[in-house]
Amino acid sequence: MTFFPAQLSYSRTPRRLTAPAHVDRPRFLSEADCHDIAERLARFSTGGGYTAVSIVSTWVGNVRWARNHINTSGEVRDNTINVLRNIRGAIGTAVINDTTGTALVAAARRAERLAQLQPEKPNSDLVTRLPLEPAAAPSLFSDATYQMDAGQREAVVSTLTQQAAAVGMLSAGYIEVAAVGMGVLDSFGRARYFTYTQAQCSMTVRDSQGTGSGWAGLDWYDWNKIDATHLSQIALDKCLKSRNPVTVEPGRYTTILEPQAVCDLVGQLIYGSGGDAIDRTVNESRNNTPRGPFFKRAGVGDAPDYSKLGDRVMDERITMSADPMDPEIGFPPFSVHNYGGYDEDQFVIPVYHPVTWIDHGVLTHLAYDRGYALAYLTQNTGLPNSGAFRMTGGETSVAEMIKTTKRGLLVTRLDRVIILDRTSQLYRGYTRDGLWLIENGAISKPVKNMAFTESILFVLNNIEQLGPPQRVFNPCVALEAQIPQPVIVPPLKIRDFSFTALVDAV
Amino acid sequence: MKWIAGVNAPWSRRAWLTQNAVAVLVGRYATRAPLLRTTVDPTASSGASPLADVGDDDWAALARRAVDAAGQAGADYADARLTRTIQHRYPYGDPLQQETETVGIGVRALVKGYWGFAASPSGDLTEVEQLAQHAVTQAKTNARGTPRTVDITQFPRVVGTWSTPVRIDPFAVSVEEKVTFMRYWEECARRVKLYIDPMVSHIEFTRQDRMLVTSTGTQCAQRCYESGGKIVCRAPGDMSQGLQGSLDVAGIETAGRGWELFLDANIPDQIRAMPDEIQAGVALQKAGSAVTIGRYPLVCDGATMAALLGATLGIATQLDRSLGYEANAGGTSFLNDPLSMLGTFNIASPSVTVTANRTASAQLATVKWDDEGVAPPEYTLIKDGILQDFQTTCEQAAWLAPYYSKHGRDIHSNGCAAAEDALNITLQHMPNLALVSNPSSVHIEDLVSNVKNGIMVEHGMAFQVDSQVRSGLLTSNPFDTRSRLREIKNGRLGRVLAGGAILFDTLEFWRHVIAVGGAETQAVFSTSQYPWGGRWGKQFPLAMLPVKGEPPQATSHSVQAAAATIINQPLINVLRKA
Repeated sequence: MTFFPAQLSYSRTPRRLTAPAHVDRPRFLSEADCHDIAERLARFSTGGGYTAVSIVSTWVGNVRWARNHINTSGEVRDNTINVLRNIRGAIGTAVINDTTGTALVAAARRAERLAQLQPEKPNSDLVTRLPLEPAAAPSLFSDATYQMDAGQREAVVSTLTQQAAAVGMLSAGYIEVAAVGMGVLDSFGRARYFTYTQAQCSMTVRDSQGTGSGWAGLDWYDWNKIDATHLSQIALDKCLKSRNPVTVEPGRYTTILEPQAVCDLVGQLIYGSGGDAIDRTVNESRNNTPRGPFFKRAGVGDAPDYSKLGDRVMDERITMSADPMDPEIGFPPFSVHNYGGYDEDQFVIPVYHPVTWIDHGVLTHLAYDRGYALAYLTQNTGLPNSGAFRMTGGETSVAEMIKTTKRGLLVTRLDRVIILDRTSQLYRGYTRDGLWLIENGAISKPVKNMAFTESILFVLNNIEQLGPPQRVFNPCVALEAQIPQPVIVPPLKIRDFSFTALVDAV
Repeated sequence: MKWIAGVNAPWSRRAWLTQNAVAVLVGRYATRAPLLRTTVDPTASSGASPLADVGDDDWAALARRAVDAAGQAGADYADARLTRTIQHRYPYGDPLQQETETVGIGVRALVKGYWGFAASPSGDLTEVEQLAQHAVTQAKTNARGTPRTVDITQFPRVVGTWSTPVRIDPFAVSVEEKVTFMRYWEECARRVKLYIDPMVSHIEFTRQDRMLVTSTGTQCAQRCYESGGKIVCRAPGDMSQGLQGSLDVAGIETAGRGWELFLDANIPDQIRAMPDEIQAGVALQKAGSAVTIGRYPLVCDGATMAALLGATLGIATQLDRSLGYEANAGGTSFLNDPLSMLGTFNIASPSVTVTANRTASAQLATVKWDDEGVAPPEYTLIKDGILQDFQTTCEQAAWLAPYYSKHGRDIHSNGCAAAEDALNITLQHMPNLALVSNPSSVHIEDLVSNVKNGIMVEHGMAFQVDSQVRSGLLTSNPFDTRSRLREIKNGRLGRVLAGGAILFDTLEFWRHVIAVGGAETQAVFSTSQYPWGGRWGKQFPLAMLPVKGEPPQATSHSVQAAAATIINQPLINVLRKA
C-alpha cells in the first residue's frame, strides 16, 4: 500500500456539530461516528490495498393521514454503509446498515473475498494521490425540521383535516421530516462529511363521490418554510372547483402549466429519465442507442462540433442553472453514490459545482463525472448533474395568463410522466388533480383529465408567457439515500400543447 | 471495453483453494443450521451484531421485550418484526459485485384505534424498549383525533417456523462456484459466436429472515428466498439490430427457489440453440411492418395476461386504495364503493375468474404467515366476472363486515399484511394472483386460429396505468428480447409490428375477454422487491416497481395467467402527437 500523507490532500468540510446538544440520543451518525467507522474498517482490513467507505445515515419522522384521520406515524433510523476494498486495483464492495464491530469486520471480509475475484489493475491508486475536488459547504440543517416531533406533526394534521372535514371533503396526505448525515472516507485519511435536514408536506383532497380531486405540496430543508395550512387551502380549493368535470376533445391547446406541472415535465430534462440528455458521459458511450437531443454525433472530450454546445436550443428567455450555495435551492455539495459510473475509487463521487446548463436559451454546459474529467479532459474536477435546478421566468402571473387566453387549458400537475423517445425528448403522461377550460379570458369549467404526448423541447420553444419562478414539490426518498433535488420553475403558457387521449381517472 | 477486462479476470488458483478450505472447515463445525442463523457460508452473514449474531431464541427475546414494553406503555395491541435481508449480486459487467446485508427491528403499536411505528437498524434489549415506547407515544398522540376502533380479536395467535422450500441453499454455494458457472456459460456463448451482454446480465440471490412476535401471542420465524437473473446473449457485429440481435436465457426469472433455478434451466443447451433463434428473430424484425391504427382483437400470451392482471385488477382490488388511504401516494381505484360493488359489480367477462393466494410453489409472495401472523387463505377476488372480495389485512377485513355477514361469511383477513422489511410499517400488499385457466385444453394456436385480423402480444408489458387504474398502455417490453407485437391474418401469425401500443381501458379490456386458454398456456410474471442495483436501484424509474405507502415501499409477488383473446381493443401509435 502506498502511504500518502493525508493532510496534503485533505480538504474536508469544516467539522460541525450534527446533533444539537439538547437531544438525548443521536438519531444519525455524526462526523466523528463516520471517522470512527472508517478507522475501525481500516484496522479490520487484511490483504493490503486500501479501504473506503461511504455512509448515509438517516432519521425520518413522518405522519400519514387519509379520510381525515391519521392512519400512522413513524420514526425510523437507518444507515447505508458501503464498504469498498481496493487491493491493487481489484475491487469488492459490501453494504451493511449495522455499525457494530462484527458487522464491519464481516463487511470487510466479504469485500475482500469479492475483490479476489477481480483482476488487479496496477497503478489504479494513482487517482488517490490527486487532491480532493474542492466542495461547497452550504448550510442546510434546520432545527425546526429536526425537532419536529410526533405531537407537532399531529397538531398540523389535525388542522388540515378539520379544514377538509368542515366542507365534507376527504383529505389524505403525508408529512415527513428527516435528518441525514453522509460521509465518504478512506484509509488514506481523505474524508468528506455533510449533514442536512429535509421536510416535505403534500396532500390530496377528494370529494366522497370521487368526482373531484385537488393536490398541493412543497418540500424544503426547513420546515418553517412550509405553510401547511396554505397548501391545504390550495388542495381543498382545487378539489371543490374540479368537481363534475366536462369532456373536451383531445387536441392541441394553448396550455397554462402551473409551476408544479412545469417541474413534472420540464424537470425530466434535468432530474428525470431524460436527465442523461445533458450528460456527456452517457451520450458518448452510446454506440447503438439513440443519442440525446444535444449531441450531433459520436465524439468524446474536446472533440469539436459533436455536441450542440453554444447553439441556441430553446426560448431565449430561459436560463437553467444550479448552485449548491443557492439560498433558495441549496442542496448537498456531493452525493455518496456514483450511479453506475467509474468506481475504482470512492472519491470519484459526484461533487456539485455551480453550473449554468442553459444560458438565455443557449446550451452552455454538458455534465460529466470526475472519472471522465480525469480520463479525457485532464482536469481534476467533474461537472456532475445533481438534478436540482432553477429556471428563470417572467413577470406574468397565472391570473394574467388566464386573462389573455381566448381558449385554453389550465394544468395543476402531471402524473406518470414517462419518456417515449430520447432524441426528441418526447414524453407521455396524465393531467391530475385539477384541469380547467379557459374561455374568453376566464376559467369556464373543470375538464376531465387527459393524456398528453409532448416533447420538452417543443414546449421550451413554444412559450407565450412566463411567470414568476417558485419552489415546487420534488422530494427525495431519504431512507433510500437519495439526495434532495430542489427545483424552482416558473408557470408557463405554451402554444399548441398536444393532448392525445381522454382519461376517466379522477 | 471494460467488460472484457472484468470477465477475463485471471483465475487465482490460490484464492480458490483458500476459500474452499475455509468453506470445508466451517462446514465441519456447522453442526446445525437453525433458522435465522447463517453458518454454512461465514461470509454470507455479518455474524455478531446485536441482531445478526443471535439465533432465533435471541431474536424472539428481543421482539418479545419490545412487545411487552409496548404493552406496559399502554398499547392495546403491539407487534415487533425483525428482519435480516441478505442480497448477493453478481453481474457480468464492471466489478460491481456486491453483497448486502441489512438488519432491522420495527415495532408497531395500537392505541384506541390509532397506530404508531418506530424502527431502527440494530438494537439491544434497552433500545428495543425505547423503540416500543416511541411507537406507543406516537399512537397515543395520534389518538387525540376522532375516536376509531380496530378489532384486535382479528389478530391471530400462531407459533412456528417456516422456510421457502429450496433444494440448494444459494448461500451455501460459494461465490467462487457461482462465478465458475457464470464463466462457463460465457464460454458456451463464445463457442457459438455469441457474447453475454455485460450491461444487463447478472445473477442474484436474496434471503430475508423474518421474525414476528405479537401481543396476541404469535411468534413465528420465516426465511424467504428469491433467486433470479438475466442473461442476454448477443450476436457481435451489427449493433444496429438492437435487441433483436439478442436473446434472453429463459427460465431464470426471479422465483422463490434456490441455486437449482440455474441448474434446472439448462443454460448451456439454451445458449447452444440461440444462434438460429436469434437469426430467425432478426429476419422477422426485418420483415416487420408499421402499425395501422384501429380496433383489433388481441391474443395475449400467458406472460402478457399475467403482467396485465398484476398491473390492473391486482392494484384495483386493494381495499386501502379503493377507500382512499393511498390517495396521496400510488392513487385510488375505480372500485370506489366496495360495499355496494361486492357481489354485484361486473368487472370482467364471465370467462374471467381471478384468485389470490400466498401458497403457490416458487412464487414470490408465498409465505406461511403474513406480517400479522395470518395464514393467508386462497380466495376468489373475481368469479365469473363479478367482484367477490378485496385484498385485506386484519384491520381492513372488518371494513367489509356488512358484506361478509350478509353472505354468511366469516370476517377474517385475507393475509395481505406485508412490509418491505422491518424498517417499513406493515401495509396491505399484493399477494400472488392467478387468472384461472380454461378447464379444457386450449392452446395459443387455437386462440390465434379463431382470429381473422388481429394482433398477438408476446411477453407484453402494461405500463403507465393511471392513478385510478382506469386505463393504461400495453406494449412490447423493451427489456425482454422475447417480447413483440405480431399481426394475425386469417388465423395465422404474421409480421412483427413496430411502434404500436394498445391503449386499454381497464374495464373495457377485461369485459371483452372472450376466451381464456388452457393450463398449457399458463405463464408466471414475477415482480421482485429487490430491483437490480439494490437500494440504489430503486431510484431508477425503469425499475417500475409497484410501490405503496409513504415513504414508498415494495414487496414481491407473482401473477400466473393463461393466454386469452380480447376483442375490440384500440391500437395506437404512441409516438404520435395530436
